[in-house]
Amino acid sequence: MTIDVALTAIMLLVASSLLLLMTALAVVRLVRNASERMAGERLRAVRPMLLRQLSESPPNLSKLAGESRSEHRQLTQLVWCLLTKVRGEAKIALIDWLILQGEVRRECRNITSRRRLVRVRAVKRLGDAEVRSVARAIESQLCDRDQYVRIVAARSLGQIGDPASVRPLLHALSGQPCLPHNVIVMSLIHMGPQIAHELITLLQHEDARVRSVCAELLGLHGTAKALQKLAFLAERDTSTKSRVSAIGALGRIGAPECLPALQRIAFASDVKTCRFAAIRSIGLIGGPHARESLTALANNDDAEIAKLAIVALTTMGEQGLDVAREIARSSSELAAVARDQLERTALSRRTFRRRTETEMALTP
Amino acid sequence: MSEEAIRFALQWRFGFEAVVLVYFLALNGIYLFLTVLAVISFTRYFRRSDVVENNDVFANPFSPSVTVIVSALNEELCIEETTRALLGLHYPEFEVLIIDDGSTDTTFALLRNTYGLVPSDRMPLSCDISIEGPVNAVWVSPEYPQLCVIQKRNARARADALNVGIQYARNDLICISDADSLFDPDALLRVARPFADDPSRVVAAGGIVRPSNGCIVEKGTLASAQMPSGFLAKIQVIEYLRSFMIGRTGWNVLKSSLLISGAFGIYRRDLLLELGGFDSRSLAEDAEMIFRIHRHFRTGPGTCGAQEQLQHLPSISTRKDYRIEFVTEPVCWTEVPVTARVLGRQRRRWSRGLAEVLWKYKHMIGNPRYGRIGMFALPYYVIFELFGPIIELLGVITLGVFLLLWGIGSVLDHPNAFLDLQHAQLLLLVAMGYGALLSLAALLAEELSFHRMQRWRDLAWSLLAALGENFGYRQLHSWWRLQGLIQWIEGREAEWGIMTRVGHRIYDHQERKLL
Repeated sequence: MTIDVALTAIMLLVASSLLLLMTALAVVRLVRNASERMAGERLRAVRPMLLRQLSESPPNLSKLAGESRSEHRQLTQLVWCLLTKVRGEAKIALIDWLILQGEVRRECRNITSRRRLVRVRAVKRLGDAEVRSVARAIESQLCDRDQYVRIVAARSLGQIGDPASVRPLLHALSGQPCLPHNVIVMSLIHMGPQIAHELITLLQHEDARVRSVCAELLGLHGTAKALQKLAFLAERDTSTKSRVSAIGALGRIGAPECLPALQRIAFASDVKTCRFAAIRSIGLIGGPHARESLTALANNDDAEIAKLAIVALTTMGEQGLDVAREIARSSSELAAVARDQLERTALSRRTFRRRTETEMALTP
Repeated sequence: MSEEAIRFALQWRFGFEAVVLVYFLALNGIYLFLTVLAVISFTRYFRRSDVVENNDVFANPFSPSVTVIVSALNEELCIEETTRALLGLHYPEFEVLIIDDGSTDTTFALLRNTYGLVPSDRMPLSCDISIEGPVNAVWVSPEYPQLCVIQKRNARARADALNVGIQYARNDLICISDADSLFDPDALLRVARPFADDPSRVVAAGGIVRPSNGCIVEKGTLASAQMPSGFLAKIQVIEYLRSFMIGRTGWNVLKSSLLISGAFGIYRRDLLLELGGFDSRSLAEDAEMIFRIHRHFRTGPGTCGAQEQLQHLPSISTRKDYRIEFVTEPVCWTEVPVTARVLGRQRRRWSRGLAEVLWKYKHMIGNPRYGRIGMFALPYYVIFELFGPIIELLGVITLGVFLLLWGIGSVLDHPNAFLDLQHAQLLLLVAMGYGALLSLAALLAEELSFHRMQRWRDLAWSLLAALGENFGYRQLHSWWRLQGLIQWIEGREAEWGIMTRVGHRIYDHQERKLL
């Protein structure tokens, strides 16, 4: 009897849930269609108005306002979206409008919200608006308990570009909870060469990870005034990771005066990863001296070194490619490596050419 | 009929009912739990995706590069569209390796003509993985430098083709797929995102796979998701929705993913090399790989990247600190079988593969060293997935027998001795209703989230399929799974069979009509 009652109850529950779900499905679809239609209509109403005022010279958004509350909300959302898509005066006008409407102040308050989604949105929007005065508040979110808040905070700091944020960002590399290396590096790249001085100072930081990232960034920014310190780091640093980063940076900067240091490392270093990095960097620097060194290294007894030297030769341009072609034609064991590498170079050149052509075709 | 016999029959009946009820409640309780978890996960994911954009991954030059490996065996109907979709993926750095696994049709000729393939000297980057079917030739496309086609001898194993791809892959991540799968243009961005966000812990990732039958394809991408025409295919649409949107998502929240679909899965290259590639003797090489990854990180060396340094991903040096991620977004659309014969073969193979993998890793079941995987996920798979068909079919057979006995009992004036018809009816209705309820929950989740099927007609068909699969299909499915289990016990040689392709419904933009 009890089982009967229980089963009947469950059945009724399941049946009513089924009906409820079916109704929910239909209602969700109806509501979604209606809201999409309404949003579309609102957007159609506010977008031309906004774009018209933005196209004025100088853009003047002071009189911009939606007729109703929902239109105003739509307009605000549109302005936040446009913020990442415009530059120059138009962007400044949009930011001014947001400040005028109290939106920036509201997002500043939201940074400390208990809801993580609100925090993420606030941090992202403030980054998009490039409001330098809130950089300190965003820095505090680098150790937020939510991973995405931390990632977005790093990205926003990169967009704001305040050199004072370099140290907190680098600290987040080893802090607890930490941020991924690629996120930090990308944020620092966004800041541009204006942080070079700060990065050169930090080449002497006690944390090897910080030294390594600084070296990497100096290379990416092509900071020639850091050459001496980078060369010192490449040869003398206690951490292999920092040394490899410094060697890579020397190659990226591409100054021929670094060649002697790199040659010393490539031929005589005890650490194999440093030797590998030095060979790659010599290839990037190029020139007759680099070619001589790499040709010598291509005949090295160590197969890995020889293979890498061939790879480096193909990155040098025509001078290096000639040597690689000679090796490919020879009967040595490395001929197959050279052939494979030559083909890769040809393919990547074609890709580059294709991309450039596409970009040129797309550029008005 | 003696009183003693009736008492015995009643006891037996109550015992059976109790077992069925416990099984039923446990299974559906777990399903309900997974549904709740999946809904929470969806809600979080969607709120976050408004703010966290995939463009960050695209714009970042430090995002891990990806090699997409596609194994193709006699895929002339869909290889062109698949390749076009792959070449059109949005991702900063990727290459496509198509492994022609000894096709006897025009698969390779189509590729050569369409992409102007020329022979290449490309060499494998690593030769640490053993290969059974040797490579015959490597081809590249001068026009599409990121495309490479490798012809190899068929070794009667998809895993062998994938292993060849791993040998030749040059990028940080390896994405495995089938030739009948269509990727969403942002698929790689979405699934590689966990690797970019947490590079030192994420080792593998997968996403939602959905049937492409009936969908309209335009310029290599899915233009419109629609319900297919056959009822079997319609039911599979619902089945995939339930499996991926409820099952996999729920298990992922519990950090107990045991499967990343072979139709779309991304792995770290260094890890695949360290584990020796896919097991070419396994019928479920995708599941086997995930089991192996769990074993590697829980009780094995637990590291990767010591020998093979990746360009944009750090090596993993701490044991247990790993994650297998499931991205709750549709990333891949695959063709599902439309005939009962082919579907039966596929399901027998899946069931057999599951049995094989569970047997191979039996030491993990109930082993506290494997945490939630060993104590919760694996026992679930054994009881409800492996032995599920036995219990379900036993239920169907017993119901038939009891109905017969009920007839005999009615004649003997003891109709309830063998079967309480009211109980049976109620239980049957509840079981079917609950199954439909789960399918509807998955449908609602789809409606609230991706809303890919936009026509009301498709929604109506989905509802019908969700209700209709209880009548005949589920029982047939259990029978196929049981057959697979029996084949595995008998140790019969595994057969992949030939999948009959229908191809995609392609929309010609210029002609403005379906081809």
